[in-house]
This record gives sequence, structure tokens and C-alpha cells, in this order.
Amino acid sequence: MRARPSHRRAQGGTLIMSLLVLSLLALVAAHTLRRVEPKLRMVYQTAGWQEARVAAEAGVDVAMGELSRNAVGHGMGSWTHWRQENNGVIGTVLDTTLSTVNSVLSLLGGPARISQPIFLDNLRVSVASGMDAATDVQLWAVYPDGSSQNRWFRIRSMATCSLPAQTYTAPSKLDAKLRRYSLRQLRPQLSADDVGLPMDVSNPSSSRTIEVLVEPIMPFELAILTKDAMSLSTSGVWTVDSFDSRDAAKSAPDGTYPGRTSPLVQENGHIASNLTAPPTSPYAALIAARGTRVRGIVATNGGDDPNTSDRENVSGAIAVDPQRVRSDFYRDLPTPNRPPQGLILPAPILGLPFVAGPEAAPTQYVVGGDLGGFSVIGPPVGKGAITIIVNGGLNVTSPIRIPPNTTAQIYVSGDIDFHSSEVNSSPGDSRRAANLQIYGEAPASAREALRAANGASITAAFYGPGYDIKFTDDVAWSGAVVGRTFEMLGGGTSGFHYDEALAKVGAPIGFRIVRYVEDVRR
Amino acid sequence: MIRAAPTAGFTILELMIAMVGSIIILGSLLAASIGLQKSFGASERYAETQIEERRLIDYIARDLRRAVGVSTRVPASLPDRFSGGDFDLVEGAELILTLPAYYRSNAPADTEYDKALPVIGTSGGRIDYGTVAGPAPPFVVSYRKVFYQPEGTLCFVREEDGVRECVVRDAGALSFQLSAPAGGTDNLRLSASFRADFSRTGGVVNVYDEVMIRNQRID
Repeated sequence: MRARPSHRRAQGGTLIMSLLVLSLLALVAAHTLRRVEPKLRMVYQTAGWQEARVAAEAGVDVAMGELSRNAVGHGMGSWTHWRQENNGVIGTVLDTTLSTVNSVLSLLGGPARISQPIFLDNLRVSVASGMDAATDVQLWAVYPDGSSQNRWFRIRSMATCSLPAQTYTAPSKLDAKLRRYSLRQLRPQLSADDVGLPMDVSNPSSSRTIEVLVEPIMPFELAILTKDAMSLSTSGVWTVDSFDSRDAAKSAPDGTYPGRTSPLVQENGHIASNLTAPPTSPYAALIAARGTRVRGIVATNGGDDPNTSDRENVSGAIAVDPQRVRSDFYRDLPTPNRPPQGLILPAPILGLPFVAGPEAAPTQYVVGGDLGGFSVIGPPVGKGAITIIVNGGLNVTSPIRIPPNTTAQIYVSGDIDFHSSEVNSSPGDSRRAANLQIYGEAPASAREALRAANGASITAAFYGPGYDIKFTDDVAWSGAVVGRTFEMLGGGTSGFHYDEALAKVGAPIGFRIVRYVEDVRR
Repeated sequence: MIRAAPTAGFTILELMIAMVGSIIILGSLLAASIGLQKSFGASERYAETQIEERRLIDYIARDLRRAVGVSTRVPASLPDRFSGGDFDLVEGAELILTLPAYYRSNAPADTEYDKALPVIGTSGGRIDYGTVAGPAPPFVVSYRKVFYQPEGTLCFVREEDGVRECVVRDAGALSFQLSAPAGGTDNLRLSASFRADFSRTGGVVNVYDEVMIRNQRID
């Protein structure tokens, strides 16, 4: 028998030794990797938690967009894809849902009235990680006082973002308290609040809930608001200021403007422009104040260089408080739409006055062509309202007279020229801008005009984002104007006096969030 | 007679060469193993650090986003409204956030703790969260870096209505800074930094976030 050569045994020993050492190293590496990898996964998992919040805020954005489409102006939009529960059956949104008080929270302690909710169910949201994400959005209309015009909204958005299931790692105790990942298909809070189908986002998942309160943006919140250029008076005396016709301490005894030098004059004559500077020269004058004294905030959409103490966005701002010049303004200005039409009356003949109906049932007139000066007769008792739709222009060479107990809304599709007329400003008139609301219906592309000339005295609120507003010389206006542009030539000794009572007047032109909370406890 | 097979063997020189070779190889492997372990250990601490930093920033960002007031208190001074600049949350300092009311109770043991307040009408035709007594007052949440007895170590703690919770433990090497341009108080920059003692160069591990305060500040 031949003995095995000994050098082969030696080679085998080396191999075994090498394998042992390599195995040891592999064990060390595997052990360390096993400890490190979950932590790296946990870092990755936090992305799901972040994206759940982004998805919830996207749900709020969707609801805000729907409000802009369906809840501005008059009437109710279509609320496409939104649902509501009606007698236990989930179906499309009824026209009256958001305008009907479903419960009065005074039963719970507060006076607000709230509608039944409408909702978007399992709204798919794209998130950066590419994981599955869905959002449930609920929306209620809330009426804080007795007025059906003052409609706020409450939006609640709950988003769930799935986490990578194959690499899911249980978080540390401290992380779990913050992020609350769920291994269940449906989180209890969603189960409790979900009015539609259960979320079908795969598990594990992370959920977050955002709630916001939304207030309406009214058309006459500012003294002068333009989409484009604004150029004020060069007279040196013409002033923009404010008063409050509802408050005896902020107006003359009869509720009118108390006079330029009166201590009752207020500092809320805010003016603003959406105009923005071109990208090639972003810091430029967007409002030409031209020495006009503005007793309020002057705001533009950019134009101010944050690296300088000057206010580049407003030229000639010698009589403007620099602390009240801002450059962070923008507001959508939709074309006004007519109120829903009921019984239409023809325009009165032979110069007879228009007759207002009771506030709950305004009379509606349609004027075929241009309309000149006119008078309105209010109801003998109580408050009255009237809507006049002018399928032409408003060419006013004689006074417009609105009685104190009546609110007139005039919708005009053509040019408006007040010449030097008295408009709702004579003794016996309401002399309240809220009582004469004029809406220019021309779209932004039409370039219609609103003009007033030397000696005109106007108490009214005008909203026409397609109109170029031009005052020449001594024009006194109490109220508010919204137009495409505003230009004051000359100016005399008069001024523009914003009536703060207008802030709540008219139909909403948009919505803004006034309270943001995250439900972090449920 | 049969000859005995020759006995194979190593000379002393061969053995010495083999031993030296083995020592070099094993030594190299050992050194590599130690280096590898150090590297993996550093990776582990890096990942842990990132998690701690991320959690601290996420806690504060979550509260900042819904805050209606932001104040800071540097050591040995009174709280001051934060209106830009840099604020370091060091020991003795405090970040104080005022949050809008939303819950019926802020006591964790209360059954109403996680229930939202109803929406009520307020003066001026507005709405807010509240009760029959009117809008509910906002409440305060604060962040501090203190020695936290239950954890037995230096921690970043969050305090809400007198109830403390540890957000980050073993926070000795972790620092937090809140910053904003002067006068710009709505967009805030949050930064957490960890002094990397595991790094040969003594580098710092930073995590940043930027937060826009969603609510109008009332402070």
C-alpha cells in the first residue's frame, strides 16, 4: 500500500485554515451588516412618513381648487367626482348640500352652522418614491353667523402612503411614537372617519391627517386692486384712505366719509397690484404712487429687492409709509358671473324708476342696450334688493339714486362712463358703497373702460377685472374698485376713500386658508 | 527485504518560511477584519445618527408647520419672539412654539385628549375651534436639551402642557439650529448636526430641512 505524500496533507491544511479565516470574516461582516441595514432601511422609511404629509396637503390643494371652481360667485358648481352620503347611500353631491345647514353646533356649544360633508374617496396621489398613496378628503360648509353669504369651509384630508413591504423594519420606540407606522390594512382613525370605501393602499403604511379652515375672499377687501398697472394722482393732495360707514367712531355722523383732516379717518386704504416685473429685471416699479398719500398698505407681486432697504416696487412713494410697502401679493380675479335668473322684468320706460323687491326676493331687470342715470325705489318697509343686467354700457350723465334701504347690483357688459355725475352720493341716497355694487362682466381680453371726470362724486363698489379704470381731475370716490388697470390723471383735492364695510360684501372670488392643523394624536 | 518508504518532512528553513508567511497572511486578515468592523461600526453609528437627527428635525418641523407663534430663549434670559437670525438649541436654551387649539383636552390621560374641538362662530363672522366659552386658547410646546432622568442621559425633550417626552437620547454630540433671514419669519431653516467622533477627520454629519409656517403668526 502506498502512503499518501505528506505535502498533499500540508496543502489541505492550508485550505482548511483559509476557509476558516474567510468564514470568520464573513460572519463578522454578516453580523455587522445585519445590524446596520435595518437602520438604513429606517432612514428610508421616514420618506414614507414625509410623503404621507405631502399627499394629505395635496388633498387640501385639490379641495381648494374645487372651491375655486365650484364655490365662487353665485350658485353651486358641479362638484364632479365628489360624493356624499344620503340616507346611508353614497352618491353624487346634491346641489343643495353645501348650502343647507345639517347641524347647528350651538348644540355643542358654538353658534356656527355646518353642512353635511361631501368627500373625495381614495384619491390616488403620486409621490416621489413611487410608492402607493391615497387620500380621503372631506369638506364641510360652515356658516359662522346668520348670513348665508358668509360661507366658510372646513377641509380634512387623510393620506396613507405605503412603505416598502419587503424591507420594512420595526422602528425604534422613539421613532414609532412620532411616525406611527401601521402594519394593519386600515388604520383605526381612517376606519372611524372614512365615509367612503376603505383605503386600499397596501401595508405597511404611514398615515397623516391635515385639517384646514378656509375663509372666502371677497371682491371688495381692498380700496384699489388691479391686475396690471396702477398709476395714482400727481396733485400732491389726492389721498387714498378709509373709513367705516358702520361705525360712528370711524365715520361722519351720517356714516359718510368724515373729511380728509378728520381724526376719524382710518389707515386701511390698502391698494395692490398683481403686476409682476419681467424675469430679466425683476426689481422694478409696479405701482406709480407719484407722491399720492396712501394711508394703507401698498402691495405688489414682487418687484422689491430684498437686499436693499429701498422699495423698488413702488415709485414716487414719498407719501407712503415704507413699513407698509409689501411685495408678496397676488390674487386671482375671476370674471364675475350673473346671479341665477328668476322672473325677468323689462327696463322701465319714460324714465320711470326701477322698483326693488324684498331682500329675500330681489327684482331682476334686463336692459337691452345702454343705461344712463336711473333711480331705484325701495320697498316701503324692510330692506330691498334689485339686480339690473345691462347688455350694453353704462353712460351716466344724470345722477344714479339708490335709497338707503336698498342694495342694487348692476351687471354691465360694456363701457362705463360716469362723466361728472353724482352717483349714489346725493342727500336722500344711501351714500353707502355697499348699496351700489357694479360688476363689469367683460372678460379680461375685452379691454372695456370705466371713466369718471372732474366733479364726479361716486359712492359705489366696482368689480371688473377686464376694465381699465381712468379718473380725470377732481373725482371723489367712496367705496372700492377692482380693475385691470387704474390711472388717476390730475386729481385735484379729492381722494379715494375705502369704506371698510365693503370687506364682507358681494359673492366670494376665491378662498384662502386661515388655520392649518395636523391631527397628531389619533 | 522491503525498503521503508522515505519519510517526508520539512526542513527548519521551510518551517520558518511557512510560519512567517502564515503570520503575514493572518496578520493582514486580522487587520482587514478589524478595519472592516470599524468601518461597519461607523456605518451603523452614521445611520443611527441620521435617524436621531431626522427625528429631531421632524418633530420640530411638524410643530412649526402648524405654529401660530415662535419664541426662543437663550440661556439665562427671557423668551423672545423669533424674528430671524440663528438660534442654537443648546443646554439652557429653549424653543417655544405656540400651537393653535384643536383638541378638547391636552391632558394625555383624558378621554378627550385625541378628540377635535368643534368649529364655532366667532366675532366678526369668522370661525375657529372652540367651545361655548368661545375660541379655545392656543397652547405651548417647548423643546430643550436637558439631562432627562428617566433616560439617565442628556436628551432633547419636547414638553407639552407639562408633560415631557424624550425625542432624542444620548444627545451630547447632537446640536440643533433654527435660522431665518432677518425679518423673514415664515420660512425657517432647521439644521441638526452631529459631531462624528467615529470619523478620523472629526467631520460633522448635518441634516437640513426647510419649513414654511402655514398659519399667520399671532405673536
